[in-house]
Amino acid sequence: MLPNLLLKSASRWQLWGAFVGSLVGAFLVFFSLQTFIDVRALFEDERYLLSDEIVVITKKVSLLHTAGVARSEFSPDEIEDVKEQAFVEQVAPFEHTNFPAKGFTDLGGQTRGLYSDVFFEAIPDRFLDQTPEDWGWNEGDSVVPVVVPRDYLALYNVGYAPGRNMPRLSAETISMIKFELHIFGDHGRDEYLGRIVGLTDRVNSALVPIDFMRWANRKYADDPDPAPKKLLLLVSDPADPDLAEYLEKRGYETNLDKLRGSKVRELLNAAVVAVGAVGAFVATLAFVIFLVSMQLAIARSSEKIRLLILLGYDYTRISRLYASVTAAALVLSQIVVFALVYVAKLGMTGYFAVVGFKLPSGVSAWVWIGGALFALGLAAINAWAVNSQVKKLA
Amino acid sequence: MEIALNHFVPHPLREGGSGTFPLTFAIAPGARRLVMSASGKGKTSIVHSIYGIRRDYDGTVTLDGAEARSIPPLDWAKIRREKLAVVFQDLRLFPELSGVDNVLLKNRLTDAKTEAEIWEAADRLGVDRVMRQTAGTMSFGQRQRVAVIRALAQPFETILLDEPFSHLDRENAEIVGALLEEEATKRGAAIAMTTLDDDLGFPHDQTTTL
Repeated sequence: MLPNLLLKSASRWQLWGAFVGSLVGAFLVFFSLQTFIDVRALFEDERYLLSDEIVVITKKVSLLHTAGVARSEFSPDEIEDVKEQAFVEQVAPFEHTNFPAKGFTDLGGQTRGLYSDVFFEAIPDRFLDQTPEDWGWNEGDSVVPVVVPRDYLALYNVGYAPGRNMPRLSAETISMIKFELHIFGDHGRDEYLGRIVGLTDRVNSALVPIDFMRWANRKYADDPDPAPKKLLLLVSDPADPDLAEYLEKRGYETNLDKLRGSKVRELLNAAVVAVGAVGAFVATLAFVIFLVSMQLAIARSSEKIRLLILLGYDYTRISRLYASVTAAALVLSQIVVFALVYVAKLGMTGYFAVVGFKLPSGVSAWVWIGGALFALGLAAINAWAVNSQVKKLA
Repeated sequence: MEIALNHFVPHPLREGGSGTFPLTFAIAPGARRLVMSASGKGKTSIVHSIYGIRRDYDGTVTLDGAEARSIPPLDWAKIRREKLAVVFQDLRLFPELSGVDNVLLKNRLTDAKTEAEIWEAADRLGVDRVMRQTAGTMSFGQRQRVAVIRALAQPFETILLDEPFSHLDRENAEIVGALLEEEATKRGAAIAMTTLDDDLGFPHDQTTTL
């Protein structure tokens, strides 16, 4: 009887509006929070870390190179000079295959397959982002493990696979891809089995274990120890102006991935923060509507409330009624928000998997805790406001 | 419950009053007190001040020694549930609720009566046939009787009646008066009643004329 008597004067469309508003607002807030946490985890994850310390340099290709006058390889003197620079901690040359090779895969026999020239590079293991399982090679092994740039996977999934009706691959399933590796030497063609065992963000070419590289160059190449065309530098501060100046002076080029990576991260963070701010704004408005519609309902019922109080009703009992309606709406909307964030997270995980990133699974504890505190906090503020308003009528 | 007014003057009657203010009197436990006066002399102000609705008066109004204006809201709720019953002059029923729901709204709070007892009282006061109508559709006399039944749906030590028989004929007034007397006696409670000029046969031991 009491709820009927008092809540009749609450405006239904106002309450529904507030409910939907707080739902949308809270969803934006908490989905942004989830995305923010995921993206941060992604950047902090060592596997995806665009390292601050690794710089890959090559010589600028100019007309002189094309004409064959200048050399695109680094000479031992040049390498020595790089090593002597104060800002360089370590230098490792990229070794590369110096023989023709082709790769063939039929991707599990579903298509006509791919047959293409391949080219590998190798760096010492300690410069890899991570050492994949099954990495390494010993003479006599027929399987050659390969690490490919993450970009290749994205390129394949986004550009190649859909057009040719081929299956999409994730970072996990890519290791199931095997390909035949045909190496052509003086005495004919040898076949090996290649297997992709990992992805890298650090270099933009396919890598094989350095042991295989050296062995294969000795066996198949005319020049078993070709001069490196790329150097990997370990530097203490890639933003060091001395480094930039040195590279400029020598006519060396570098991969600017780190810079781009940090830009991407900045933009992504800004976008996430902007969406979160819009969400916070919407949620705040919605909450104000909740507050106002409750205050209005109380004001409209003030005569009835006064009379109930004259009959001996505790004003707290009446204010609890109003507070609990709002609390129920807020809690219900938060539960819906959790469900929506969960579903959206599944969608995000799927999308990121296509471009080769594995997001941490599930909804972050911060989102659960934040959402619960958000709903309960607003309910508490509303309860306080309602109570002080009803108390004035007592 | 001991109710005492001491040098009581409602603010609207501070100047050029009837000469009866400032007013000092008490309603002792178990008393039957009549407050008689013409309209506009402050009867309702007295009832409202004792019931804690009006706070604009000089002097003091005490309930068991506590000044009415200093009693906190939650204590008032308890007093109104357990010690002090009232029938307002303007009755203050919920017009959108039926007669029986008006009574039940109070009775659910106190659990003083069974529903059968409520219907029995309605039957006795001759309003049983209108109890399911909304209060807004009843005559004033019918509503007056519903308000009396509601006031009785609680324990009390004193019941305040503000012109409770104003729209009742003498016969009905006597029926209502008998029920009130019976219920008050059962509880050992005091009755304080205001009236214009006629006691309508209501037994009383003290009269204050304003």
